[in-house]
Amino acid sequence: MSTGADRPSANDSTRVVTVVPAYNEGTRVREIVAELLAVVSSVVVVDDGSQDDTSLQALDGGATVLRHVVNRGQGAALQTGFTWALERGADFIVTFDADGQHDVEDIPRLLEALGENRHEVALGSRFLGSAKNISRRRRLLLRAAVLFTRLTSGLPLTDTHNGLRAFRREAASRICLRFDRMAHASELIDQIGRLGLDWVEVPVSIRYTPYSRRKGQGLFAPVRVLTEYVLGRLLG
Amino acid sequence: MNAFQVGGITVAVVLIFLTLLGMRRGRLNRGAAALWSLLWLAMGISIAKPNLTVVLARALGIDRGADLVFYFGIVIMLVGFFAVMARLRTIEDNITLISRHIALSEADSPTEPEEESAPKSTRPIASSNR
Repeated sequence: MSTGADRPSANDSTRVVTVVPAYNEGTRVREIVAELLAVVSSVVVVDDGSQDDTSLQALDGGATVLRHVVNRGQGAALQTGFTWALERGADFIVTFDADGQHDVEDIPRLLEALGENRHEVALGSRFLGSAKNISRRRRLLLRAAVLFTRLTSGLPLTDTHNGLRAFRREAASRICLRFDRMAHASELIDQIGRLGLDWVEVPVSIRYTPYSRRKGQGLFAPVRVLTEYVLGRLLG
Repeated sequence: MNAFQVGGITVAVVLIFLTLLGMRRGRLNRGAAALWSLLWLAMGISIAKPNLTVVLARALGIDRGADLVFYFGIVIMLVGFFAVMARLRTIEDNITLISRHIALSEADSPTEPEEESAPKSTRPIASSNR
């Protein structure tokens, strides 16, 4: 990827921090961190109260590790990572899942979207890119989530629950996630809309492996997410 | 007055006493104590004078006093549920804030400190657009 005056990459002096929320990912996280460090300047793994050696593996892989003493949820872990990255002068913040579904090769594309066109938020979309081995059920659920989010936020997104995103510092500093668990994805979209942030969707690849499917949300997860979202909005 | 009424009024009086005791000991603020006391008082009065619920129900367009008590009970339970959920939400938020504070305070850096590899935020920025 060429480095222009306003295109962030690992090789110029802009600071790109990747936030990786992780829960019981001891078998994968070290590999993920190593892949990421080849592309970005800094990786921070937020260990969300894991019971395995996620923290140790991430640290050995070269990441900075923040550890929640109790499990709080992916939303909480992301916000912790954001706070750390902003305090340390990150110019751009990337969010990346620890289960191996994301492809590090997509990160430069996200950063390019922020740099070249001065967008504030770049959101990965598997439906603009590719989703290898996605089940029909998962596809239907994601489509339903897209419809729901369009109704609540008004944003015409094609993929509303994709953990691969990139933010300019200024945008990240205005976002404040209060939904600790999986409803944070909808809350994030709502805030992007409410704050009037300049967003763009970028085609990315998602690969579903037996491991990631095992780690994925169960049958009643959509009900839990919806309940968390509705109660969260009601309670403010 | 029948046995149920005697028992019910006794319970109401005891609950009022415990509520006021709770307020005195600092476990309840005045507003909450007043509300709970009114609730126990209303309970006692409706047990002592059940016909009053009929009069009140008819004034509100409800046929039976028992229905009024039922609807009132549902409203009270919903209000209580909402208050408990709001309180739980606050507690959960506080737990997250505490966990975050600890995580940020005890951040673990890799064995090669970032300071040794010159964190890029301290390097001169190539672009002058910022």
